[in-house]
Amino acid sequence: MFNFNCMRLPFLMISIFILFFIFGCSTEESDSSAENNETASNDEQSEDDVTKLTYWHNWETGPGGEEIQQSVAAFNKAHPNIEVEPVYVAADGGDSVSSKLVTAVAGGNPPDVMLASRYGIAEYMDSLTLLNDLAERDGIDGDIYYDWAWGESTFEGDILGLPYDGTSRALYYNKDHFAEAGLDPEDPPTTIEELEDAARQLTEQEDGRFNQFGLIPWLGEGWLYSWGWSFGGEFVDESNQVTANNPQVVEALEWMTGFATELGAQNVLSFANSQGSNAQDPFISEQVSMVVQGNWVMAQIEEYNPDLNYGVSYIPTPTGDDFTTFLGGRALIIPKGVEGDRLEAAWEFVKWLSSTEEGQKHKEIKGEYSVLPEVNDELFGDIPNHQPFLDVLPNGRHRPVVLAGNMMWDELAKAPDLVLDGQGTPQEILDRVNETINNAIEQEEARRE
Amino acid sequence: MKSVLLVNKIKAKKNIGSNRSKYGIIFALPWIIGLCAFYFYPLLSSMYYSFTNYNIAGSSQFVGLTNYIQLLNDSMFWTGISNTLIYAFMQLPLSVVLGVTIALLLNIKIKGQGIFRTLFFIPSLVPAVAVAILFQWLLEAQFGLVNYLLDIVGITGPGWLGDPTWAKPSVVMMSLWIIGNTFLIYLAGLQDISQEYYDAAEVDGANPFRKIWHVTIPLLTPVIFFNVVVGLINALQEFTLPYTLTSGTGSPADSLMFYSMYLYNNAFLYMRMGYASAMAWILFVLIMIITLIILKTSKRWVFYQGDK
Repeated sequence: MFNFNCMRLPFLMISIFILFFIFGCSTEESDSSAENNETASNDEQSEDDVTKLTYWHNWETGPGGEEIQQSVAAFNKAHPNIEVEPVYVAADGGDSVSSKLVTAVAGGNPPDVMLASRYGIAEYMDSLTLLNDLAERDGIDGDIYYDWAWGESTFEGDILGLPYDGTSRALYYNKDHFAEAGLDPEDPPTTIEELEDAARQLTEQEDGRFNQFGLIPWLGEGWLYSWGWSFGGEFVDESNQVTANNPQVVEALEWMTGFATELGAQNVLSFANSQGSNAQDPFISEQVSMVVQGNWVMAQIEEYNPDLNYGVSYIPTPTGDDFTTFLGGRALIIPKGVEGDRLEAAWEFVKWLSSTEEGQKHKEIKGEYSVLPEVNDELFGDIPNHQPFLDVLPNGRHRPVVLAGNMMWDELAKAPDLVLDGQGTPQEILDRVNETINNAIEQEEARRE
Repeated sequence: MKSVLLVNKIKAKKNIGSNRSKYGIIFALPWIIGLCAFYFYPLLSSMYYSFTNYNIAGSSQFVGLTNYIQLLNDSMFWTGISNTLIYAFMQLPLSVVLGVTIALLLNIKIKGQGIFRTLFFIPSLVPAVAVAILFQWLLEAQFGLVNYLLDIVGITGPGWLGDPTWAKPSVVMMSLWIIGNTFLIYLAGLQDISQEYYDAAEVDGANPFRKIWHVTIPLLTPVIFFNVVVGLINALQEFTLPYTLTSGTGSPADSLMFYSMYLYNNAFLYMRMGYASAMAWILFVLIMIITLIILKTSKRWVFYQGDK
């Protein structure tokens, strides 16, 4: 009898565990089967069924969040059979949510649509549904978009996503500072030489401490990409091989760092690195007179220093013409694993948001540019400070779509720092960067084969 | 009848004894399963992945030692190692000295002892991310409070976080600010030292400093040893502070590119999970070796109470 009693406890424990497992699994199953039932019952109801889509984005607050909400609401209204639910997913590393997407796809639970930074998407294209067939079927091609928008959404013929918006860069300058320094506030510099002269006149220092900087080339959005293109450089050749050490790019880096050294590199370096954002942004708080910045800064100025008397002009070039700019932005992607009706619905949403005027007109809220030329004129055509941006939009350049886009960004972004820290000449640093990136791409290509 | 019952009872006792370990295992089962599923499995698979070009989503192949060989030729890998080691060798001794000093001071029986202890511990309650952001403001080159105070006494402060030479010391400073957990352990260790030793030292005419040097410190060495090992492991894995400060870029000029940050970037930004797994195992071996060295030397400098 005792024997039996003693054995009862382990049996009891084991059976409890078994129960737990069965229960645990069954709840999971019942969850998914409930979902299936939902979609199944939706299928049964056929005509009046509603396909629910999850839309990942990383703008929750401010005008960006509002843009997401409003555009989704407009889509839902126009498409009674599809209901898109925007879900905020916090950005990780950079301004994208790529690692979360990749893990979600690997875990078999991806969102239906995601808003992603365009330049890095080739790196995780294994997690994407390529849109070639759908685009071909519905007649979507590069013709309706700006070159930079389409170019950055495709990789060697594969359509990775549809472009969503464009962010552009230009030279912002403080008109009051110009007047104080005896410069003409209505005639901003257009050549590099004029820019240097103006910067020297605008820089004020007092016992080694800077009260006002004329220009710190890489402050704000003055990336090597921005200046490299203005100097006529190319970051890839015709065969999409990375050319970070292209002569004009080297020249741009030489100019950026040389100019900074002249002002006292250490001062400039620590100043630029400890810069704040928003209210602490050195241009908005009027410590810096000229800066290369993005179009979104206009809204920040409006918010944090509405009295700032500023103008916007093209990023100067060595010759004073052939102005161009660095166009960034996001793409709408459909993750791998979205299939059947959901894929159709997701494609409908992506297509509407990207290629129709109704979908694109919400760009006004955040002040980013549309990827459709005709929409921009309508939204921003009569705002003077947008003019320099709009003028160069057609010649805008996009970051090369390569299999190591994120790494390329990181490596190029720190190049000025490395030069100023004395770790090599611009040529040496860019040779090194070029080798690193091309090696990474080669390996990735080997993996894909 | 009686004897049968007795035999039965003895049998039952025996059974209970032999079943005891079974019960133990059964009760520990949820944790054992959890440990296997969420700890050992990922651990072992990361070992396997370190020999592949795994990137989470796509197909991957076995590439042998390629990742490891490539790491040895990766200049950023070495930058990460040297940054992390430099940081650890700055941070660790300072944290020991500072932790012991604070613990000694807070062990003095004065009025408001509890208040002081609380005050020194409070910073540890602040999350590392908040600490990073707070210090970003304090150490701002032009308008930061620290440089302002230095300016008052006539020193031109450096660019701190913006300056490659000062960036790591700045992070050391931040990490020392949240030293609460460490000195709490020292404090407990101090309380563990028997009063008899002090009494004996008193009789021999030792002054307070000699007491600290000859009694307190030697008898505190087991606690110091523990904190050194734990602190070293933490320092070599430092991630949150530099990552928050630089958003993962390691600026200025790679001076804050810590090893685990480069590991993270490779895994989740560059989608090179296999490469990152290899990095993780190298870090593991590195930490293991350094810890073993400390363990080996510990016999010479760690004294336990009651040891001969």
